[in-house]
Amino acid sequence: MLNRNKSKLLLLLITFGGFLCGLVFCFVGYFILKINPLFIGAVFVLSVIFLILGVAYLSLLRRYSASLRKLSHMTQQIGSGNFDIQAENVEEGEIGELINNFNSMSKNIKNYVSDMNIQAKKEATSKSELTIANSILNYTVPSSFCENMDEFDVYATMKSAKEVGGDFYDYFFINPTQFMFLVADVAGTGIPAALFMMNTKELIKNMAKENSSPKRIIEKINRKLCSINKKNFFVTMFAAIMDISTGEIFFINCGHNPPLIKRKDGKYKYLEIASNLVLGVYPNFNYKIQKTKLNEGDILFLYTDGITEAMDDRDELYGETRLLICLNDYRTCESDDLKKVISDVQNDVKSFTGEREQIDDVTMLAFKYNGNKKQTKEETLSLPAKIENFGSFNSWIESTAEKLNIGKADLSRLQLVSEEVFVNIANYAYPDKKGDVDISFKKDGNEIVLRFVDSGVQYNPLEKANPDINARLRDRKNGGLGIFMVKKSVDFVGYEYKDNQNILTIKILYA
Amino acid sequence: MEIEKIMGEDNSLCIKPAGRIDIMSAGTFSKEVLSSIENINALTLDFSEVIYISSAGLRAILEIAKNMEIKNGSLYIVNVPRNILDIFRMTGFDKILNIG
Repeated sequence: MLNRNKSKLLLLLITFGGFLCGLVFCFVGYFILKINPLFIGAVFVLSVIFLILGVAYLSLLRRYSASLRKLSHMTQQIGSGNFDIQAENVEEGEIGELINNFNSMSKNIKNYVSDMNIQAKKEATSKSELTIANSILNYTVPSSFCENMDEFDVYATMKSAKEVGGDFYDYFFINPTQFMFLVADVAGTGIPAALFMMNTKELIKNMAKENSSPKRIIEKINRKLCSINKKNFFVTMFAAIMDISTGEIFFINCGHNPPLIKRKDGKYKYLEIASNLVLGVYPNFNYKIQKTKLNEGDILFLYTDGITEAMDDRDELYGETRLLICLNDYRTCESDDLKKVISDVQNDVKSFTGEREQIDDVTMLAFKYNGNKKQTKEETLSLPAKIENFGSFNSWIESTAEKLNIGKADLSRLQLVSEEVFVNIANYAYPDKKGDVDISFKKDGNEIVLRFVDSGVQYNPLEKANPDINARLRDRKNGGLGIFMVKKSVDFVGYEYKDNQNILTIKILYA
Repeated sequence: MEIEKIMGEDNSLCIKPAGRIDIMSAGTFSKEVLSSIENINALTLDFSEVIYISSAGLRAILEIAKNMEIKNGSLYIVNVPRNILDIFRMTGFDKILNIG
């Protein structure tokens, strides 16, 4: 395409050139060639018309090209992101209309883009707020040291559906013997619900530590929640307070899903719960606390409705029956591994929901009681002080040590000192008559205590001189070796004579 | 308790007791050994299978050791498990016996 200036120039030249040629022809024709004047006149008129047409065309061209240039410039601006541009419109007709349309298009684009920006910013902000809130909430997961106590195992998971969840679980010691664990669900979504959830969590912990009875604890929690509850949230909760030394457990269900309980070697079944109102709604509600006892090996399984209300793509709910069946599958039911129990349920729910997205938070907490390991348990035995009874005495020592959870390393030592004392008594306590020896075996905290009582000849074995352990072979005597070994093997050995009885007490500090 | 006896060359004997040497079995142990070493000059006690020893067992060993000494024979106690070794040390037996 020719440069528009060059083409305009060309056009100009042609127009004026043509006109001039016409003029010259007329002049030459009239004055020199004496051509018919009428013919000359006609050529002259044609030349003038040619000139007028040429000029008219040129000026029209200029006008349109100005408008087109305006429009082209505008398009360029819009193309590079400047939507603020409006073209000056003094034209009429189609060009005027075109310019008007361009102007309104530019305005629309500008508004549209601005709206999009606002929307995107809003979304980005709320998404990052939620992410921050979520990571704050995740920091308040209960301390993991509770998971490794002797007396119990506890394991819990929480998986939120949206970025911030309304579910939570918690577990902590109220005092050295009372352990509290719970799952809860705050009805509500988004950041306000999450903040309410955090408040509730802290509140529960504080009320539990400040108050003595479970009933008072729950009522205080409820009243406080009612007073801070501005947005009419409510909280469902199942909480338990367990005395780990006795196995006694108080529990309360506030509008929450009933947990499952499995007795040792039994099957899971739903715990019978009294129904209570959800928390945070009615400050004077009279909450009913329930009580039961857990024995060694019993398991409690707590969860939120994210499990039972999980949906598959036919809108069918997972439900309580499926949960029960899943837990009672022999591979899960017979497992003592709480992590496995929870992951089995997770997998079952996942295969049920398939591709369907998780719509609610899923929380699970499993608690297993292992019995009281620190209890002062005492076993006693009474038998005739005779060497031939050593076998049964030794078996008793072995089985009692196992009952008291004494490890193999300490058992060896224990058996040695027991034998030496028993043999001593059997050999010397009753030279003229028969008699019994009473043995008490107990574990007190981290001390193993053995006590031997006989009513024989008054004799303090600790008074016997130690054998000379540096003597040469031929000078070595037998005497005193046994009691010497006892002295060297234990942390404490003491003797007293009381009520005509020899009492020998031995203590071993248990690692 | 089980006692294994392995005759060696030149009047040497290896005896390997297994299990516990306590008040009930120490007597049997010492009787068995003493009755076997009449013509033995070199006695080895292999303790690899001994799991427990009390003062009764130590007394038995003492008796056996004195017997060998009178005859100018030698006594070696080998393959002693850690817990038994601790007891030998505690009572000074590691000084009067050849323990390895």
